Amino acid sequence: MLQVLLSGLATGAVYGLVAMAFAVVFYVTKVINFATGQLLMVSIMTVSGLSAIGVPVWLSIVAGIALSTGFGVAIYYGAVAPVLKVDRTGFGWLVSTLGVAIVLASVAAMIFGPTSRAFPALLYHHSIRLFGTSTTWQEMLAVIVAAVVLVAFEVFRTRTLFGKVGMAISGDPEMATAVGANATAYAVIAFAIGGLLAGVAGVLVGPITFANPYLGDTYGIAGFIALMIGGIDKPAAAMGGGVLLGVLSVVANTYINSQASDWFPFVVVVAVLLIAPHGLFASGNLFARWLGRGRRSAELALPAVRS
Amino acid sequence: MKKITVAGIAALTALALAGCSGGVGSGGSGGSGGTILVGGIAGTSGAYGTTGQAAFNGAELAIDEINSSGTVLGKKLKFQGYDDGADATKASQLFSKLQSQGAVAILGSPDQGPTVAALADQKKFPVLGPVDDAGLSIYPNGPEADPYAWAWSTSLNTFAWGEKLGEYALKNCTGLAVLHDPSGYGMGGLAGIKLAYDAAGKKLALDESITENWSTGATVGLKAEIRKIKQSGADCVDVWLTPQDQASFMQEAQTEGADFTFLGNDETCSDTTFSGLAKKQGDGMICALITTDMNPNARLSTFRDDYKKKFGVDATAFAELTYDAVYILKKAIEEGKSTEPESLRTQLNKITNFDGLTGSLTFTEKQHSTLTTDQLTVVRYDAASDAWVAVD
Repeated sequence: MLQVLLSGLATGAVYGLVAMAFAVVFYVTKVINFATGQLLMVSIMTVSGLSAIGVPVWLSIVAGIALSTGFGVAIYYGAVAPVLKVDRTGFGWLVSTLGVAIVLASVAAMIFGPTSRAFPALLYHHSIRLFGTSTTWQEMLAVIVAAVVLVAFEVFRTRTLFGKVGMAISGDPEMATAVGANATAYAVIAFAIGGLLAGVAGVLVGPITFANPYLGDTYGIAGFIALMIGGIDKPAAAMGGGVLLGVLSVVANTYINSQASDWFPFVVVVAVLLIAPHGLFASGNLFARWLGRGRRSAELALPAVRS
Repeated sequence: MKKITVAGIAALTALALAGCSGGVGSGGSGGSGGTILVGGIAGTSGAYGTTGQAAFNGAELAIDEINSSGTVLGKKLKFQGYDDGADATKASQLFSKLQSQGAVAILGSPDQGPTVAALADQKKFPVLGPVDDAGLSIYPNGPEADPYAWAWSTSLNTFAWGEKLGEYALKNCTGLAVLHDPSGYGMGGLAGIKLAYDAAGKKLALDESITENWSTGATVGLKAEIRKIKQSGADCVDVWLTPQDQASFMQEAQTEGADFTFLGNDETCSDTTFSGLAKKQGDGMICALITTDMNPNARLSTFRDDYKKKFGVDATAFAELTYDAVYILKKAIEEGKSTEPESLRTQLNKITNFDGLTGSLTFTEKQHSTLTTDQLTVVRYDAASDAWVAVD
């Protein structure tokens, strides 16, 4: 069981990072960037492509993450801002970000070819024994990175002025803008962080999946499901959804059958939507309140702002 | 209105950019008037895009050769291939499109074979060449049952590969576990392996169905399978999945310290996808190659040189077998002196010992797949030399 849990945590950490990438963008802009999975792919393909031509792996990784971050910003300026300018409350971004996702995958397939390419093994060939279980350093790294990102983001969000202004924009952008907050700058930063998180997730999972231009669909869907399970209103909740999804997928594969991870997450999503429509870890639902019982949250320190 | 326009333009632009899958054509310039149109359906984009492209290239090369050396029933051949994007609905639409354009037969599809072969039977229209990886695509009710009457495959054959690898496992393994996808491709491989095991009166140690994302491989790792295989007592595992999943699984198993002998499928050694991904971790993978591919004669060597010169890449088995299919179609047209479907069906069923690039090829009423176990050689991947070497 511990082995299953460990494998699930590693898988879930990657899902969680992608879900957080979705959530950070939604948190600030109320837009779901459906090209988030493709940002993960951009990072993977860049690392694969550059390392294949002899660029040092560390430099390839930096370039891959930088490019996915940059693409995140480009998506905001190219596909989201123009649509929001026409109608701030409309859903044009849904089509435009989906369009970007298709274009990114197609362009990557044109550049790199449609088949899978090698990706540097990084720490994947280094195994580790833990309490009678076996895992790899690469998977441990995914869990550690996810934990660090989660804590860092929450500290940044709730303990810094910058983060609190972000919370204010998330709660009421018009009011926040009226009192001097630059909502556009925050939107750009949110898309950049979304790209960064997706890029990091790509580097963590690349040694396992190899590099494929269509990988974005797979992880985009998984990240979105994780977002729905955890909750869309807080990035930390999305990470929780990712971890839960990862663990449940591996549990399903192990104890039901090898195909269960294909349908089981959807059963979980439906169940979650019935029990806690805003997600298991979203603010205000019974489960989250039970988890947060007795804890003085940042929300209490800033009662006027919805987190 | 403005809102609708912006969203609409975005959607149309995205769809236009992503979905622009043009056809591939060669040969004569007319329709069915002064030419004989040969259709092609294959996924030339997506994960199996290189396979589809190789099939189209092989067809083009054959048709160019035939046209430069003469005519068929006084007409030039024309090839029109379309990308089905590995999508069954699209393959079905393209089938009708090619029929309406006047094609006399369709080559393909290497990725949507079951759809195309079933349509061929429904519409009584000949389909041949790279029809998926034969197996259940051609014999939908299993290897012992009758094939589709209107589909003839020169393609790699899951039954033959499965049986050959099953025979290897019977000689070299204490127990064999099989991980396969649940599609016709995976079930065809399993049926082939079971042919060998049933004949020997043995049972598989484990048979696990794995749903794959055919573009990218399985979403969740296959670590759970490693434990199941260990528990089953198998020392060999046939990973009848995509080459990327095979590479990923070997990597994962070795990291876990599992000491299995790994067996693949017909795709494993048909191109460099597996070896390029697995690298030294792929050392020892067992596969089977068409014997003529291992020991190319002068004709095959010439084909490979011409192919490389024309397309800038190395020829693969799918190029060779589609090339063979065009020449078989030419022979069927000439022997029957007609391009009518019924005539082609009669003549295709009479193709005997056709001297093709992939060996001596025969079709009969009951045999609609040319490649059998007799034409295969078991090989092992040697990472040090990056080559597939014959297993004694």
